[in-house]
Amino acid sequence: MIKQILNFGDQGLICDFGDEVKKEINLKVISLFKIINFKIKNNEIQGIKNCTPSYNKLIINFNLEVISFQQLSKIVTSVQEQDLNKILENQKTWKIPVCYDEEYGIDQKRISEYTGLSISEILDIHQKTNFYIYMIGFMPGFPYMGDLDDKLYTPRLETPRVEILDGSVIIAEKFCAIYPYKSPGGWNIVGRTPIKLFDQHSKNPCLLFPGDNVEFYKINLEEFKKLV
Amino acid sequence: MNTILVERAGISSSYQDMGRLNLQYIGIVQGGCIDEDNFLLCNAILQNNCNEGLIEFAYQGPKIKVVDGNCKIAITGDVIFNIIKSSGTVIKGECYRSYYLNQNDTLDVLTTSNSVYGYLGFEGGIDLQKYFGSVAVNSRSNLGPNNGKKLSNNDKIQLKKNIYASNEYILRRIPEKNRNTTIRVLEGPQEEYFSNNGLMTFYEKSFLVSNLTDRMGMRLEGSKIDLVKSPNIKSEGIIKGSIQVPASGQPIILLSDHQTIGGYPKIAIIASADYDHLAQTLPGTSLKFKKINLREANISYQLKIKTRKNIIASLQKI
Repeated sequence: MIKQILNFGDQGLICDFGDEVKKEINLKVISLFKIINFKIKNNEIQGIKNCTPSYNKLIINFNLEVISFQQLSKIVTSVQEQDLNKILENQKTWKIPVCYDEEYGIDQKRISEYTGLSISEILDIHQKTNFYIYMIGFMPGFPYMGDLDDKLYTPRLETPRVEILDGSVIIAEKFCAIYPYKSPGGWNIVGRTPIKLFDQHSKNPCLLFPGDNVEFYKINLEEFKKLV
Repeated sequence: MNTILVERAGISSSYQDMGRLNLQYIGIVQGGCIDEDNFLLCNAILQNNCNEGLIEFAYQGPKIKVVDGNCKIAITGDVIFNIIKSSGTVIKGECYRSYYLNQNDTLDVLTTSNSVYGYLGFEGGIDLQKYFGSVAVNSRSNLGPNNGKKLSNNDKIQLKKNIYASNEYILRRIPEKNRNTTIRVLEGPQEEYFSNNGLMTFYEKSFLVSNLTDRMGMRLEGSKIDLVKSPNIKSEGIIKGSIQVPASGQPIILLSDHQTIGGYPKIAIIASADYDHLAQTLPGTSLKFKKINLREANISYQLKIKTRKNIIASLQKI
């Protein structure tokens, strides 16, 4: 449950669920996020600019002209523990194709050297893992997924690359992510997906949602090129 | 058709409104105008909807020509500009009032003065497609109209309506020039990541606004702020005005187009009453930070809102 409620500047409120990075805790953060969003849609709360779930916190940005920190704290503390456990339906599992060919999986060798596993073992573990989306952010559509098998633990690159291709599937420490756009970055690249994670012109612009699950499956270069 | 030709885009001109709400959970920041006061005043002068999209520029603004129809414009901020009538007559522009422009008139926004951002609005608004309920352009994520890009030379701006000769308006009261270099902040959520010396450095020393400053963030240079813990926290949601300190010990203030999630400890956050003023501060300026509590921050923000309302109430026909 919420460990403490703090102000974050004069238009922010932090709901802190404790220090651990764990799926069980993150699910409660996402439940609270859904409850607050439901209240926004039903006009039960006004003046919310943003509600951002992360591993262990929900950070609410409010409009001080409309609502005060004290009023918002009251609403948040009125949410019961049992309500947080109720709202966990509608989580999807996405199957995402990845081309692991050398052309795209440029850090497989580095991961192999660091972990002592063969490349085929690495790809096998990656495809057998059921990933959980803790949060989406940093840039539109970027999913922070965990938990990567301890055996694949590889640190970030010491010098980040200036450009990583969009769709790159990347791992670092206990996390996995996908770049929705071309971007600089320091994670290890295992492959590339042809799936567009974010498109502002689409009816559903962001494919994934915090709390969803993701599994990867292998496609070859030819299939990749067909799907792009 | 009512068309404006962009003869020169300027350094960083983009369409902005008040931004997008409640999308940060999928990585979309609110964004929108940096200086809310000047944005709102511009629309108020033009009697537009308060959230009507307009052009925000930094330093040198755009040079535009009315190629089809007539329009009414207003510029807010501290901006030097000229209106060149089709006859060749040059009118030295004044901020905080509207001007009627005829076909073939040119508007040349030369520069902002002692500030970074200015706003150019059109009566009735610009015809732009909304994305997620907003016309704000976020060029880092290619979000918004104009393919999510800043204005370019030779772009065409379509206005929603043609304006027939009508009264021009002026704000009889304008915002006071704020030369204060002490910025009010509230305690950040990760103060315990800093040593007492680190906190003293932050609150007692001056920091220089560096050239590495844009809509996303403002990098400061100064004495190194000492951290006692690893400079990585569990990534969490960001609110504009957050002051994060990476391992370098040099603070970065996150501005309107900030990333939605960040993993550096935040030593403080700008009081909302001082955000617009801070964001208008030129690189090379030396700043100091003063801590205030939540009550003081609330009072100062209410005062800012009240002042803006009084300014808007001073609008008169010329």
